[in-house]
Amino acid sequence: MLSFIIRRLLIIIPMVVLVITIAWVLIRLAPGNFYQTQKGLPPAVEKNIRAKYGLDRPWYVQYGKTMWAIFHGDFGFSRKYQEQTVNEILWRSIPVSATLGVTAYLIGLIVGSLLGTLAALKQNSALDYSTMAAAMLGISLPNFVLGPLLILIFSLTLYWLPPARWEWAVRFGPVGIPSLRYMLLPAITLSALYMAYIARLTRSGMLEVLRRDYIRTARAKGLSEKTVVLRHALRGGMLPVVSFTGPALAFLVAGTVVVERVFAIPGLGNYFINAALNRDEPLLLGITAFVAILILLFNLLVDIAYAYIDPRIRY
Amino acid sequence: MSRNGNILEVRDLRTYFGTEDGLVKAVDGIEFELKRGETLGIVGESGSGKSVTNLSIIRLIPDPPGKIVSGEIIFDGQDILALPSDEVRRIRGKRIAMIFQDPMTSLNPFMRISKQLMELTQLHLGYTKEQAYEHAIKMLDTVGIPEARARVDSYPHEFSGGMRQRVMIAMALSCEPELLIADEPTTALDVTIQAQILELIKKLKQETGTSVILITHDLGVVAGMTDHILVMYAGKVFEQARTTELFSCPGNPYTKGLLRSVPDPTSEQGALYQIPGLPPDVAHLPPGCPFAPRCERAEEICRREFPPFVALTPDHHSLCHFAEEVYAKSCQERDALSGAQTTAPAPDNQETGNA
Amino acid sequence: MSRPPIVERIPTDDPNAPVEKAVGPAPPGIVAAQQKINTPEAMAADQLYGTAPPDDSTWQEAAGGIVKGTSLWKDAWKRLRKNKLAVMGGIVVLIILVATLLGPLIIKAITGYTYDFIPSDPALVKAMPPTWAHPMGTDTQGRDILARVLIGGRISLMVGIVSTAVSLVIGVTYGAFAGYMGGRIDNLMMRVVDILFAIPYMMLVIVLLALFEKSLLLLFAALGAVSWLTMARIVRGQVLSLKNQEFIEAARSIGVPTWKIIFRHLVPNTLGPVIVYATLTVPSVMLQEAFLSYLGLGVQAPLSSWGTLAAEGAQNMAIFPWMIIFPGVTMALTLFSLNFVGDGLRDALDPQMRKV
Repeated sequence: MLSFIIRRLLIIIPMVVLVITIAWVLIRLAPGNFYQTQKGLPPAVEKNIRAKYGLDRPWYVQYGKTMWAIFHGDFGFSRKYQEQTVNEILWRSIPVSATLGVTAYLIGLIVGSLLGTLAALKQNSALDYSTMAAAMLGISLPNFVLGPLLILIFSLTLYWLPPARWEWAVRFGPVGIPSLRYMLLPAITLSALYMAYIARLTRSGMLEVLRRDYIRTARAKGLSEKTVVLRHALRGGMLPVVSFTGPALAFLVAGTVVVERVFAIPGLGNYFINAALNRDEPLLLGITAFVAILILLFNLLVDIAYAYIDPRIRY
Repeated sequence: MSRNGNILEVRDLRTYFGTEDGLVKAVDGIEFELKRGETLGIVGESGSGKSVTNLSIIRLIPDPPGKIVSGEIIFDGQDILALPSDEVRRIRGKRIAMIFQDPMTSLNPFMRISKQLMELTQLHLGYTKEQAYEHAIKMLDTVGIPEARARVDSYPHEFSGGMRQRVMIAMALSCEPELLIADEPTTALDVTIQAQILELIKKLKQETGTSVILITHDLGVVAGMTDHILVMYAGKVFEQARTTELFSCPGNPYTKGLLRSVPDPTSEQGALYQIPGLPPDVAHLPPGCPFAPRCERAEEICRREFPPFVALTPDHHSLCHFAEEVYAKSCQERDALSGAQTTAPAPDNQETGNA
Repeated sequence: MSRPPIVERIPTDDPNAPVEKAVGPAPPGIVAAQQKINTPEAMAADQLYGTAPPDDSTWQEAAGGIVKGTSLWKDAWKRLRKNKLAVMGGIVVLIILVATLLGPLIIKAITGYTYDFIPSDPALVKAMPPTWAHPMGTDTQGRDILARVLIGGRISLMVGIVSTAVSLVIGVTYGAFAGYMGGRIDNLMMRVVDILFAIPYMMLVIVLLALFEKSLLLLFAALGAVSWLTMARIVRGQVLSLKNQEFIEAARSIGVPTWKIIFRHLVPNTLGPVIVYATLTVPSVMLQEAFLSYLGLGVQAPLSSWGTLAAEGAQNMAIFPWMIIFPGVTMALTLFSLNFVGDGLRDALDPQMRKV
């Protein structure tokens, strides 16, 4: 197990290098340049800019320097948000996105698995059908439609909740406790998809498990239905949800991009889109590297959790 | 407590399933009784309703699609079908225990053996964790698992099929049930292991005095193990008799067919006999005798009218239009055989059956 | 319980005899099972091991053997028709498909509006709530939203279908090849898939689309490239389990070339799961397209897709809520229906997942 973890941790390094390289190549291959937004620069000025950012060097020198700096955790200064280092921006925006994402995922996990289990236990009941219809709606309704609709109802019509922005209620350095009023709508918007997926996965997983022979054995032991479900069925039934955690993080990345835009939240996703649109190379590489590491670490955690839940799996 | 020494009486049990193909009468009017300390064999091909009968006894029929439509299941004087479900739960595992067919899938793969054993005694006997743990080790020891103490914390996948079935038996017997239902306990196992498991059940039965229902499709398995045999076909009891009587003087063409298809180690027959055709589609039964399409003895009446349940002796019943004739003929054959050989081996002496 | 496909390949005494005629008067439903049991090998094995044929679960025993002799596809079709949600979803999808194809023409014929028609009267260049002339209202430029939703649906559906086709071609070819070659090649090819799986794809797609000239072609390629990985895995798994069966050996032994074995013999047999997965890929790709378009990275003006319409609507929703409600609801309804069709197909084609 330990050697498996170490091997997987070591693989993360070349993988991250690969992802950063792909992003770097894409940026370099793309036509145009970040400074060309200002039209018709005099050649002398352009030369100065190129020299300042090292763009006059051969590509392999640029690549080498960039990677070397990144390897030391230094992504340099943002080109859009001048005077700010990429690390400062990450430091500031990651807590926002992480708080939002974790909250949304927890809502999705708790509500989704609960509804999914109930639907499986009462298969073909009204509860089952309505849960599954709602889950299907959650999968089908894009979050950039759901978010505005929620704003329309709860902010612009009922005036209950603020339509945008992000506030910390209490702060401890970069992290803190968010203001619930501000977080509620974006968290619900973001969690809808997880809720839907997790409810469906839990339901089918539980249905599958409840049909197994060992559940019949458990019932034949005289265990109460509650014990049968909680002690014997839940573990196997939740395995699909565990494997969904990996893809869920990828959804989260895409989801935060949209939700942060809809609700004007200064999180990682918002910075990422702006960086991509503004060709802010250092910021783009910084966010890409962070997300890549996060996803790879998460996949590893999922595999470890899987082995912990299912004793038949050995690495 | 019980009125006549019967641990179990089943009266007119009907369990139906609603399926895509229509109503399936998986069990349709079964009656039998089991005396305390005795062993009953229920024999039949797949689809005959033998497993459903036994799941009905402890009310484990999945509903939907299944439903116990009518009947009485009187266990130790109480009608299980009339009890509230939490009282049935108190009987399950404690007073009536089951062993299922496939030990590979019947144990929870995510849970240690120890825990799966312990939850029974903790639940039914109020054992503490320590007591339950020691008891689990003792039970594993009883069923012949070597180094029980070292292996009690294993997961099921670390055990072989035969070992897992021993664990199932240990589990079933850990609350010293009054009735043990073994549903094809050896079908999924290797031939050599089959004999060991049957021997184990037999030995434990003798030691604890529990009553046993042994379900199988293999007459060879029940031969040396049971006192009574119930032959089921298409959800009905086709024949019912003491084991010795059934083997020597079957009163039903179906039983005769089953007996002929048991390989006989003493004879030098080349080809094995096989009852022609297949078990019927229980959703679409013919109007007359359900066995008629496959029966050698079938006549016009068999296809038209449902046969009567004939009492050949007070202890021997057969569902057939020609029960008496078949019975007389097989008794003749037996007499002729014993006359010729003088020392005919009684069927229940072949202890381990064909295993 | 994945029986139907196995049953189909069971040898009978007379391979040309119709299944129903092979054995006596038994109902056709259990004929296949009868044949299975009456083969000499099966009989001998049953006697030897004391294993009675089909008896893997009590429920099945209770139902008297659910084994079907009809073909997999017929059976699946029967099951699909019974699934009311899937049937309704299919009807809705068909209606929307026809509407997006013919709707703009009809609207033009009746009212003269097209998706990019801006009224010449400046008084009309504004967002107007739904009226009889504009059932979904108009946008801020006075354009008919119904016409724009239909045209947008055309683009969205096209992106969904074309990108799925792209992923289908790449995924099936890659997966079938890896599965058929097996050994080291398979190992290497699947490692590549594993690596690609771990990459934060959507980020790279965003970077790609943000930096390069946006075109529909690039969008197809990017979205197709995202979803072929799962397809490749599914097909490979199927091929692996199929390739050692007799009919492939037979084809190989008479010298059928490899590509022909893969595409004539193996791929058709993997069709079930592939169809199911493809059906479920279409709505997910459409969602991704909408997501990218919402961010301004997908379909570009003057073309519209449901994503761009929703983005425009979201900007104006405080004052002109119909601008987001109609495109949003149409899109959700379409994805909803497509997902139900996909789910129904999966239940129908994969009896293992079938409800008890």
